[in-house]
Amino acid sequence: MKKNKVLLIGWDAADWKIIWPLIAKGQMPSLQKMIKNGVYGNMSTMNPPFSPMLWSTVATGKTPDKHGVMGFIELDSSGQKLRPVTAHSRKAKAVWNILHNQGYKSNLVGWWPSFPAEPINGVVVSDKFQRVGSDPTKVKPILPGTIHPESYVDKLKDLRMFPWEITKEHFLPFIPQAARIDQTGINNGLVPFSNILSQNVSLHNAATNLLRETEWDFMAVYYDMIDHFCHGFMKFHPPKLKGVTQEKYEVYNDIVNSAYRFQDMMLGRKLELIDDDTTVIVMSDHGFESGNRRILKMPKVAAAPALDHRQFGMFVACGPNIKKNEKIFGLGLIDVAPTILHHFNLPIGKDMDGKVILDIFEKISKPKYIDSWEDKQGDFGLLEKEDVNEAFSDDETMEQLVELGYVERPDDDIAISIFKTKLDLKHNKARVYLGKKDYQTAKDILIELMKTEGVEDFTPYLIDLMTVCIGMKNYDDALKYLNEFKQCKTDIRYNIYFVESDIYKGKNQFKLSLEVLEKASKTKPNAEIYFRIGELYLLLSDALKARDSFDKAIEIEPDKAKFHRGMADAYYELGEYSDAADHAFVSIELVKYFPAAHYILGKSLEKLGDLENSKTAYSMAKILRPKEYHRAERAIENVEEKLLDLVTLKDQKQGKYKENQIIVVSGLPRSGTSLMMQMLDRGGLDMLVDYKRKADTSNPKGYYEYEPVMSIHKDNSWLGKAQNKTVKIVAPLLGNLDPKYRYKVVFMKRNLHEVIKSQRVMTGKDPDVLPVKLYNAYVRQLEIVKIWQEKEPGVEIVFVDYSDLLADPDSQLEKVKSLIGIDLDCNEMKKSIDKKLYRNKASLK
Amino acid sequence: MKKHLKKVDFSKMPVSSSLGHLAYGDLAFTAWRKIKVDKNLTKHNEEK
Repeated sequence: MKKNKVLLIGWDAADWKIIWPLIAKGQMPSLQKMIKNGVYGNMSTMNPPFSPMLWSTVATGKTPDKHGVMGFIELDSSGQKLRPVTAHSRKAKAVWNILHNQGYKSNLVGWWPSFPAEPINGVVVSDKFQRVGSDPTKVKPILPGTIHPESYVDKLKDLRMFPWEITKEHFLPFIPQAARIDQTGINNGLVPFSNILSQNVSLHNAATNLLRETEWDFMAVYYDMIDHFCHGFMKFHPPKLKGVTQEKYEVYNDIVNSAYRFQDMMLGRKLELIDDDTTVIVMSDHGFESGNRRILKMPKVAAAPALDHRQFGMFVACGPNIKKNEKIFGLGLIDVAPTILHHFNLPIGKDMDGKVILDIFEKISKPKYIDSWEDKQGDFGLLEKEDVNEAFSDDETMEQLVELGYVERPDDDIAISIFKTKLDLKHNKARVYLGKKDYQTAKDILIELMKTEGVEDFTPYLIDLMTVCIGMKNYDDALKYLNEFKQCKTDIRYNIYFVESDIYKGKNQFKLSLEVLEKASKTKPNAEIYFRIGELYLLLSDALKARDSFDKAIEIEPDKAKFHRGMADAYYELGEYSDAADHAFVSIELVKYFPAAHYILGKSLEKLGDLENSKTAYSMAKILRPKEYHRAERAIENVEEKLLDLVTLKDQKQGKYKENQIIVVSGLPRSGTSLMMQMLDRGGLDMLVDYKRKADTSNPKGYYEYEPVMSIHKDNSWLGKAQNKTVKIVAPLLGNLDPKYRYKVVFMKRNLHEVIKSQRVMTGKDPDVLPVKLYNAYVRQLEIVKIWQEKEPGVEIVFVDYSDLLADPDSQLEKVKSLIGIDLDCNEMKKSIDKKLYRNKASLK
Repeated sequence: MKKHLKKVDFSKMPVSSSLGHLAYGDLAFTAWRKIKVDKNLTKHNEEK
């Protein structure tokens, strides 16, 4: 008897939102038992959420750009015909290939895609096995390549169930009112239902047979029943959707629940057939929308039904070395294969995208690594290269994919279908890169698609191009593609309000961004819109409206972590730190590894005086997202200082030099920033200036500017050069400072009337006219600086009044000196002051 | 450790079967097929 086995069970599209209520009613006892004796959590899916791509990722630990499975269909090896995706498309080694190489025995049942069966040590029942057709007069034989080894064909062939064998005892538990169904037409009524049920029973029969009869180390069984029943019947699931007729609702409303119940019954039988040494994993590749986001009428886009797929699937594992009754977080499909290899004490390929889920194990051992399994020589039980002359087709599976809506019915002209498929596969590849945030590669592919002749509708590519440009922070290009999109003629009604509002948000046009969402919220109110509106109100410093909007989002979807994080931010801005901490906690309860939630928790607890826990929260944010949470690092330093010396709480912005600090001289244009730069230069500080802008009558002693500052909103990568130097950055650009550095800001204040007057003189305009809009904009700008400074723990700031500096330089320079934390030559600094240059004083008219 | 499974008597399985039988897997399925053949029902099904 083999020891230490792993049984991996795939439930396509299984979702906790359906599972938990059924468990609460005691209707999924087998899964409940596994949860009690094991770990459970959300399984994060990938984009695009197309099952053959996702299950190939599960099998390889690699993203689709590496494993090569790019969609539901592929071109056969002759390139002349389309067929459902096969194992030939997978270019990376699956976990069972690696196990084969290492002397382990694997059984595989129904994996998508697994036809033709790979010649591994063990038994492979490929995803062709259960395809028997629904016409009793044309029973399909088992094709070569369906089962490996061939000797198992005779043992297993009679375990295939035919759809016409389904009896009323089988379907009545799913559809008690089946008598009301119109049975006319081959694809109406119970025929699609019977196909799905019988196919899954066939796979289950093969699985139970192999579990009983064979020795194995690893076994994987895949079921598509939940996914397929959801696609067919989720629209009838409670609560009743407005567009669904009462009659259909009454007939079909329990099918989805029944599918889960039956899946659990089958799980129960499998658990009976394994020994206690076996580790069992039950997981799905994505979830399925079951609330008010369900789509009643699918748009005519490629693989449209996948629009119903939800971001999170489910994961449960139990076994001898698995923790008991514990929730785990941060699981991804790419992590499954590395975790299984680790279970067998085998090294993980460094070229795998996933990591070992160490959190699930009771006793943890250190994972081992090799560069790659791909270039390792030896027998991996791989398929021979397909012979072009023996290229096979699979009309049966193709027809089912068409019925499910995953695949468009092939055109009469096969060349057209091949052309469209090539475009779709390429588009899917671009979406994979988009999901991996490799924006440039995604953009290159999408632009190539945009240039392809013969494409009827460019809108799907334009939408992704907009998303790519937003990801690259190239909002000008995103806007260009948005305008191009608006010119396109398409039959599909896209919701582009999120993309549109993101573009305006990226361009700092928050009000315009808000308008787009407010308008959309009137026609299509949903939680995500309210969440994004809340985020915008936060940016507009209206925390009260932000709170109200997050409240609406939470009311619709109370279990979304980011909604609670948003609410925590709003409460923090309102000064209600206890409520902020509460929502941050809820957010972390929902998604443990959520850096933004830990960060706002740290901020809230710091304000509440709980410095120890605040430090823990900040540390968590930093560990989880070290690249993005440099703010957390700064905040930890601040809290540590407070913990060291609680008396100096209020003086933390003074007197201490910080390693690699960047000194920034800021203020509104014409508020004395050049003067301060000059003074600090004389005082002995190193300057980051390029002297490209020459001195003139407005600034006779020079501007002390550095040209890349002007485009800091596009590129702030040069900031590293500014460490231990002084650089001038005007107030409106401060928000673009990279939070990973520590800043000391000397902010020049000047009477706004004087600032504007000076600017108008400089630009040759009448200095005695006060432009009210500009004045208000500057007032607002100063408010934003204040908010920015409070939000950024890496920023220390002093405000130096221009007129005070001229009148009483000693006291102002003392303030500057104490901020910077370095001794400055104040006498030399004072020599910069030339009171004759104090022109454009404000006059009270 | 291997579990001790109860032996199930399929001889009394009704010809209309049940979801429970389907969930039981290959043994129950094979037994059901045999019952149908014994009662000469397989052919009837395929002709439907």
